[in-house]
Formats: sequence, C-alpha cells, structure tokens
Amino acid sequence: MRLPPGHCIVGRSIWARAVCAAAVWAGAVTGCSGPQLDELVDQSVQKVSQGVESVKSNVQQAGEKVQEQVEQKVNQGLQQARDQVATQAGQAGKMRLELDPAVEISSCSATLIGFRDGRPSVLLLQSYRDAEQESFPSVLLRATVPSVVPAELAGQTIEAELFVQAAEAGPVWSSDGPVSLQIVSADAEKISARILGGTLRRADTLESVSITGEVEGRSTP
Amino acid sequence: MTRTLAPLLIVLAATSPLAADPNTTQPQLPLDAYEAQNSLELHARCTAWLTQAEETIAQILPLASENNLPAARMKQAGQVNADLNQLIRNGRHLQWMGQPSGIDFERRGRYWKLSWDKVIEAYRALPAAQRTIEGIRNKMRQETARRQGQVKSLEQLVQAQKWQQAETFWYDQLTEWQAMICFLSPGEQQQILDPFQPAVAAMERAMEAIRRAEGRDALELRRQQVQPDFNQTLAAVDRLLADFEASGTAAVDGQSTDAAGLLRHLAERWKSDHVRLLAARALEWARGDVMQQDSPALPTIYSAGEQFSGEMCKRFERLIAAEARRARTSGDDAVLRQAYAACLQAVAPLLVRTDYAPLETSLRRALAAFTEQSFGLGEDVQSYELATGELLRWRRRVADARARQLMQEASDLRARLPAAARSQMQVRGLFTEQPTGRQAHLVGTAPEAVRLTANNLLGRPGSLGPVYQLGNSAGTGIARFEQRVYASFPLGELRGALDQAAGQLRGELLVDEQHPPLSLDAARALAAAQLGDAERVGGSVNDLAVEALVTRQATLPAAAWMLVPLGTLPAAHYPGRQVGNGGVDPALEQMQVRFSLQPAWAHTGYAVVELPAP
Repeated sequence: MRLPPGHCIVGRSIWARAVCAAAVWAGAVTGCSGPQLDELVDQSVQKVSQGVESVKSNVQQAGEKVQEQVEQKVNQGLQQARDQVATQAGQAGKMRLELDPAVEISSCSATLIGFRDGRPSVLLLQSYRDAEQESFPSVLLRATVPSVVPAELAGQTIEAELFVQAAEAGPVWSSDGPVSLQIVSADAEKISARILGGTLRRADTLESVSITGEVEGRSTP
Repeated sequence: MTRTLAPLLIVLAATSPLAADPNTTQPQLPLDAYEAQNSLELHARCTAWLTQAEETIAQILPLASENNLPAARMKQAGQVNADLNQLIRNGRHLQWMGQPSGIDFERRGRYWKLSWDKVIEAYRALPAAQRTIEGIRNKMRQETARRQGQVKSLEQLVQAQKWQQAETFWYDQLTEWQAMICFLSPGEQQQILDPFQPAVAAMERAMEAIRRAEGRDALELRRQQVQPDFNQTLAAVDRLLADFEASGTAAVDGQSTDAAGLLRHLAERWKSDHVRLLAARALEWARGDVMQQDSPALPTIYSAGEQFSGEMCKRFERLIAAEARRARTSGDDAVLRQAYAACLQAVAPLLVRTDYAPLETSLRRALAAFTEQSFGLGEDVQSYELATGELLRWRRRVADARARQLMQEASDLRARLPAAARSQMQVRGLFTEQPTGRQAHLVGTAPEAVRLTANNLLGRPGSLGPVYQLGNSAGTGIARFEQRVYASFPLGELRGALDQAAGQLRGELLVDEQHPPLSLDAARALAAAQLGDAERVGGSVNDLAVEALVTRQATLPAAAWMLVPLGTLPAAHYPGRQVGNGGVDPALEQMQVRFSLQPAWAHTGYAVVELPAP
C-alpha cells in the first residue's frame, strides 16, 4: 500500500533495495498458483539472498560496525520480503465482472494513492501489475476516494470509472457514467469491493450493457 | 462542337476572382503568387488577361456550340486570341521568376486556345464575317512594305543585342496583329509572320537566359531576406539565459520575465525562425526550377535547420535546469512546486504541436531536476503519474477504438488523394493516369484538378489529423501538412464539445485552480484539450482548393507555424527535381490540396467527441 505519503522506501537505503527487489518479484508472480508458486517463492528468496550477498560485499570496506548494522537491516528486510512474497503469491486478488460471458480474473492489485498537496486521493483496482505486464482479460477500476486510510473507506459507496478488455484483439469497454462501487472491507493488505451497478459501453459500436461484479484487490508495494 | 466544349463550360460557371487559390466554388481563380522581383505585377496582368478572355469565352462559346456565332463580336473574339497568346508567353516569364502560377497561366492559355482555335475557324467560314476578314486582308496587304521595314528594325536590334528593346518592339506589334490576323488562313498568317522568325527566335533565346538569370538572382536575394539568422537568435537567447542564471529573471522587450515567460519566448523565437526557414526552402525549390537544377543551397538549409533545432533543445534544457536550481536553493517546497508546475505548463503547449523527439527528451531530462532531490514533490509526482498514467492509457485505448470505427466511413483523406486526383481520360488531375511515383503535381490546369478531385471527394466523409486550433475568433482548425494535404476550416459546434471534453479531462487528472498537473504527459494532454486540438477530425468534405507547394510554404503566416512541425524539415515534402530514368519533377508543378470539412467528430487523444447527426 502506498499510503500514507512518504512511505515509499524505494532507493532510500541498502536494506530497502533488497526488500523492493523481492517485492517487485512478488508482483511478477501475481496470478500464478499451485506448485509453480512454491518454486517461484523459493527462486525469489534465492534472488534476494544473492542480492544480500552482493550488498554485503559492497559494504565490506565500511567497517565492522557499519556492516553489523547493515546486516541487521538486511536480515529484517529479507524477512519482510519473504513474508510479502508468500502473502502475495498465495493471495493474488481476484475480479469477477458479470458480463456475458462473465469476466473472471485471478489477480487484482489495489493501489491507494494520496498527495501532500491536498488533491483527492485515488484508488486503483487493476487486473495487472503495470502496463508492461498487462495480460488479457484486462480491467481497470479507478475512483477518487475521500480518505487515504484504507479502514476509513470500508462501508463507503463511491463512484468509479471502469475499463474492460477481455481479449487483446477484442473490443474495449468503458463505463458510460460512473459505476457504483461499494467498498466492503479495506485494510493494509486488501480491499474487497462490490460493483453495485453501472453501464459499460463498447468503445467502437457504442453498444451498452449493465454491469455488476466483485473485486478483491491485494495491496501493491 | 457541343460535345467537345460542354465540360469546358462547367469551369466557367463561377464568380469573380478573389485572392485565393482555385477551389470548388471558384475553380477559375489563378494559383496564388508570392512576392519576389516584380512578379506580383506580372501575375496581376496575367490574371487580367485570363479573366477577360474567360469572360468573353463564356459568352461566345455557347453560341459557337449552337452554330450561332455573332459576327458583331468578331473583334472581341480576336482580342481573346491575343490575350491567350499573352497569357501563354507571360506565363512562361512568370515561371522564369519562380512563380508556380505561371505554369497554370501558360497551360490555361493553351487549354482555351484548343477550343478557341475552333471558334476562330468557325468565324473564318461565317458568311457574315467575310467583309471584316477581307478588310483585315487588305489592311495587311497595304502594310507589306512597312512590315519589311519592321523586319529590318527588329534584325538590327537583335544584331545590336538590344534584347529588351527587340522584345518590346516585336510583341507590341504582334499583339495588335494577333487580334486580327487570326481570322486569315494559316498560310496568310505565315506569310506575314515568317520573315520575323529568325530574329524573334534569337531574341526569345536571349530573353529567356536574361529572365532566368534575373529570376535566379531575385530569388536568391529574397531568400537571403527571409532566411533566419540562427546565430543571431541563439546569441540573443544565450544573453537571456545568462541574465536569468545570474538573477532569476531576464528582460524580454523591456519586461522582466520569469522562467515560464522565457520558455514561451524561446518557443516563439523558434516558431518564427521555423516559418522563415520554410519560406527560404520554398524559394530555393523555385530557384532550382529557374536554374534547371536543384539549388546547391538546399543541403545547407536542411543542416542549418537541424542544427538550430538541436541547439534550441539545449537552451530549453538549460533554462529549466537553471529554474530548478533556483527553486531548490530557495529551500521552500511551495516555491519548488510552483516553479515546476509553471515550467510544465509553459512547455506543454509547444510539445503538443510538434513531435520532435529530441525536444521531449530534453524537457523530460530537465524537468527531472525538480524532483530528483526533493522528497515531497518527487513523491507527489510519482504518485500523480501512478494515479493518472493508467487512466490516460485506457482513455486513449477507448478513443482509438471509436476513432477506428468512425474512420471506416471517414477514412484518411491523405491516403485517398492519389486515387481521387488521378487523371482520367481527358480530365487531368494531380497524378498521371499511370502512377509514376511523383507526388501531387499539376498534370493539366488547376481548375481541371479541382473539378476532378471535387467530383470524387466533395460531400463525402473523410478525416484528417492532427488538427490544431488557430485560436482566432472563427475557431479555425488546421490539419497538419503531410503528403501534400492539409486542412483549414471552422470547427463550429465541435468547439463547444471539445471544451466540454477538456473540462472532463481536467477533473479526471485531478487538476483545479490550486492543483496543476504534475506530469508532462498529463500537462500535455490538458494543454491539447485546452487549446482545442485534436489528433483527428472527421466530417464531410465541404470544400477543397488546389495550391502550389512553393507558394504556400513561401507565404506561410507565422500563426500557422504548426502546419509543419518544429525540428528537422521533412525532405519528403519535395525530394528534388530528379526522378528515376532521368526524368524531371519540377518544383513549380508541385501541388497540394487544402480541404475544408464540416466537422462531425474529433479524436482528442483521450476522448472522441461527436456531434449529433444533423
């Protein structure tokens, strides 16, 4: 979860780099399941360990004391990374949109974004981690939200924009007017929401259909 | 005769000429001219000859086709013959001055001569005309001795190489005769004119060389006048930058100007020099035709333009870097945010209207200096990109899909021009019947090309892009010049729809009075929306005009700088005179089509706005 502001630690310390490497890896496996996942978890932990060795080597010259501190931090980071990888790989989130046929996706990442300058916060629920890793079916739900604290969103019904593309070469759909999105529960780990209703319009032909659905988004690092 | 002349009459169904190029409502207009030497004066005289001739032709030709020639109008008919000959001759002179209109004048003279010779022939056989013809015959017979003296005078002028005097002497006399002797038989005409021919041929050769040399020098002079002095511009910009780096402001036209103001000033300098470089290039294209070889100055124009564009990118980068330094040094987060936002908003409109990759690279690199060492702003920018990036990507995807659908009916007019303007049977357009690889060029005359192209495209749906709003009260949108096509038309009701879409995008990008866009992509999207620009506009073609490439680029108004994007000048506009197999593709023949649309929809990049069907 990106909030509250200032929590992003990317590039801010040596141990954080190791954590982020593991976290990015976790994102890459989102959507996989079963034995494949165990293998990937092991691989990712191995990669983090390799990264740790490399970091250790770099700080050799910084003196014993510094090395001790660094090792301590790295170990903390490594544990966090292990936890995060296991959590995310096991529970990648999901989306189900009641269309004809239904769109079902076994991954959904949730990102809650806040600003220091007072502009509205934004909630993104998407079926892919980022544009480069987009696969199909692909879905984006986006809403401005009244709070950056996940728990404060629970129980609220908000207006959202919805974009759906079931196949790469298939039609693109977008909400025609806001979609009503009820946040069922929200915490630091996940956001569960229900699409209560709305209209989706096919971009090319302007054909319209009603939409309902459910999403469970896992927080992105 | 009725069958032969009928298509010609359609061309004449028109009103009085205005300062514009031949278009669907006034196809008979001459091609527009640009200022160089005294060619505008000659262009005006040619226009007068053409107009007078066409007016009389429009009156007499229908009568001729009904075998009802009025003997009383013989004198006027003879005058048309003289005017058409003047048009052909002076059309050539205009070409030697680098004017594309000269080609059209010459060809239109020849075009009308083909049918007018038949009218004259009909007069020769008209019983009611015989008395007048006999009078002409007697007059010419009586002047035989005088003519022999005139031959001698002309030969003396030629021997003395008094070419200009010889030309005036000969053509003053010939024009007077041509209105009369055309009614005599071809044999009688030869008898009158042949004795002059050796001297006339020598004089013509000499005058062509003289005129070409004068044209070449005049165009060179004109080019030097219009071509921007890039060193001067860069030196002036460098002085401003040095002042700004020292004090945080610089004086532009006596006014203290901040970084955003300076960025806009730099953009204006660049645009102004860009338009002047386009004019310089066009003049060199024309000079190539006058010299009958590609101008040796052209490579220098291209390289100077490219170098200048690169140098301007560096100046933009330097200015933004200085502003970032200044803002960071203040230690005030509010100052840093304000400076960053102001820079973004100053450069975004420029970036919208040009796709010069080095500029975008320079700007992105420079803007990063604001956020690199600022945790607060840097974090917000990162968050903002995350919060808006995916929305913009999906919005574009949706809009692209709708635009693709709309384009199934309103397909791209550039792609359709070669088929629509291809010569057919006896109607000549902008492409020959058999493709030759040449771009749009005048195969016959401009009115024929207008008529042919209009027949195929007028009233049909089509689209063009990108379209930029000029910002004038008429809400004129202009489509970028590419593949010899551009557009200029009032956006009409589409303007309101575009404004509405801009408002919606502003909200979605989390922007209001207190919260400016924080990423270059968002700033660019908003700038485009606020300028009323569109990636593509579709509608029905409601007018088109045929224009000369050289003239349009030599006379481009500064406000229309975006017709050709900043940066490297596209050589594809006109690759040069030489074509395969030793063929020649003259610059003055190069044409382009200006479309006008009745707009029905616009693809803004992030939305497609559509007007309800009328």
